Amino acid sequence: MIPMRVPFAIKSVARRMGRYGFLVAMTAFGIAAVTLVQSVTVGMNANVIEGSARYLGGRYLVIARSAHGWAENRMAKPDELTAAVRDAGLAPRLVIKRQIAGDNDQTLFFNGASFKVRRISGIDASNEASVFEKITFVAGGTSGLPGTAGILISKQVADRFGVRLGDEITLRLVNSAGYIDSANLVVQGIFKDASIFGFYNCYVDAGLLGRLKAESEGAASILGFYFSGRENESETAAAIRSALAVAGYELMPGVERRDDLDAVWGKEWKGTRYAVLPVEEYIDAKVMDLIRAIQVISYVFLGFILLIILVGMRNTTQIMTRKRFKEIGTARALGMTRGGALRLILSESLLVATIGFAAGVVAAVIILGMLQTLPFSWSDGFDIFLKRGRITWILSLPFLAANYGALGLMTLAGALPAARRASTISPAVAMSTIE
Amino acid sequence: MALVLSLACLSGLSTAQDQSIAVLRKVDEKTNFAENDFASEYAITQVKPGEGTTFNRAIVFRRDRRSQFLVLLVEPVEDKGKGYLMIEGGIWLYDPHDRRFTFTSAQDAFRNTNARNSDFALSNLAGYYRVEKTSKEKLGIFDCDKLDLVATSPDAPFPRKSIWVSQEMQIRLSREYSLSGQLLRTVAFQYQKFQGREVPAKVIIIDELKKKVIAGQEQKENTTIIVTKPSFAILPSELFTKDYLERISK
Repeated sequence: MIPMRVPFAIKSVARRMGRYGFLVAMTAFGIAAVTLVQSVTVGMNANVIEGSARYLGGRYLVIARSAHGWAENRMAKPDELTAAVRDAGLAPRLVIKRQIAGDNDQTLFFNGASFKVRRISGIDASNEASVFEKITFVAGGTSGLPGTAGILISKQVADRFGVRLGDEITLRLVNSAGYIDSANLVVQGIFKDASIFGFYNCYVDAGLLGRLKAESEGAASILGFYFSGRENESETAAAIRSALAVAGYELMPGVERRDDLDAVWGKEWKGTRYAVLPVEEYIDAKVMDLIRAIQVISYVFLGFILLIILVGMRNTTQIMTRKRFKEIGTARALGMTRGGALRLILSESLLVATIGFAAGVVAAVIILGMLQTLPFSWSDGFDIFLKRGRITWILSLPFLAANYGALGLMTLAGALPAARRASTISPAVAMSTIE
Repeated sequence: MALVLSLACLSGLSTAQDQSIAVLRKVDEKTNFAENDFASEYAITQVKPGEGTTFNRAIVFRRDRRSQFLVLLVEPVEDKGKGYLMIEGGIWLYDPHDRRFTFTSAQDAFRNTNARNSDFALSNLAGYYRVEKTSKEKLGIFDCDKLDLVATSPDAPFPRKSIWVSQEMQIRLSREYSLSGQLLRTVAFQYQKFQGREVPAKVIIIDELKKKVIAGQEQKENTTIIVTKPSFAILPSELFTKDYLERISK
């Protein structure tokens, strides 16, 4: 019974810590490195999702295309779709309706220069206050935006134009009917976001953009939902799809990922069809692929570390068992069973691994805490993974559990030959041996 | 207004809208070369306040009766051989460096100047606009009718424009607006007599959005097009083909 051996094992390990030291240090180093990478990638993943949800207009996005797959996203009555979702028992904590100008030749003019922006999002800043409080404004903010001819631009765009808060810039676009329209907009906020979500994106009031685009009152380009944040994303997206289907909305069949959306690009149909995607399935897959690649590298690294631990544990426990030949023999003579001897070695090994694991996690947390204080805003390309220009990290319990499980298995595998050997020690031979 | 009324009497049209369309048709007829092919050399100078001047020279071939044109760049040297070809209602840009045709729109800027591709195409005011308001105005030495136009088709280069039409039914000035009424461009025209009819001599395009304050003075980005060596000689039909553009660029 391992629990009965634990106090004995603790004393034994404590007495031999000098000999187990290298193994503890090696385990701690490996676990610290893996925990560091995994925690940062989990944080990066969360930041990408948060940034893309802010950029695209929700954690779960409802897309509507009329007559064909390449139609502009447009829904005439988004409130009715929201009602259908609520009627199905889903309770989004935030519902977002946005107007988007993306294929409208949207161009900004200021002081003799022009700049075509990738996307202009029409937002209801009062409704989306909780979304925008997470980005850093170097000047102004969202408060002056609702109902006004204002615009929020990124610092990069402001620097490029030499625009300051309160300056008037001209927006020119081609509206939904194909006519050029324009408006003079006062800069109400300059935000710091050098990622692809911020650099080429500007925010204006949804009503203003709707009028410029000649959209009907109450229409939206995109409908987005935020839930508690603890929900399962694919199940939630499926539940929204189901709610819309029950309410009689026609869905784009089989669209659960961005690739599926590309697959309906060439298709035509009658009326409007809808798709619901969690935001991570809607953004450019390359961003998420990068995170997954980093995670895979961390697993490869973990595997490498575990291999070293396996070999180290095997050698160390064999040497230790040989050195403790008489001690184990005596214990056997005093009533320790063969199984007891086997469990003693295994529990000692597991204890060494646990100490290494704990030391590694503590070291990782200390390093992560220090990393978090370093500004990374000098790297524009990396900004997509940051929050307010800094690395964020999340200690993921499932990852920790998996790592500990893998470490435990590898430790047991490494210590098993020595434990078996210990269980076969004859008390008589051991006691007559002079060490 | 006298011009409108006299035209209305001439054509026997009754409604004001019909009269207006008749005026626009007349302007289109005067602007286009329906009877002949037209070729000329365009010297295009763009001035960007505080940034300097860029220069393009192009040979322009027009066959308005078939809505075709070819603008072949000859300067600067690095752009020599590039061409804009309008055929079958679409405008294609050919780049000899990568030997590729790219579809472009009439509304797109020509060579990053303040001119648009539509400035080289035939005029279709009667097809794209209705007259919202007319008034009489003196423009320098010209007695003009000012026509405020509203687009009836998204194919119109601008949703709103005002044109000043002289007694000779020629546009002397054009102001082009966005749907919200913001002034986007001002275009002034000068003409030259050639073989009994007037052809463009100089076009000045002022971009009203691209303006800069330099030394306390507001300066606007502008493009001047000088038209020389006009010709009404018959052009070979193969000129208005993609094959021709590819061949001459080799």
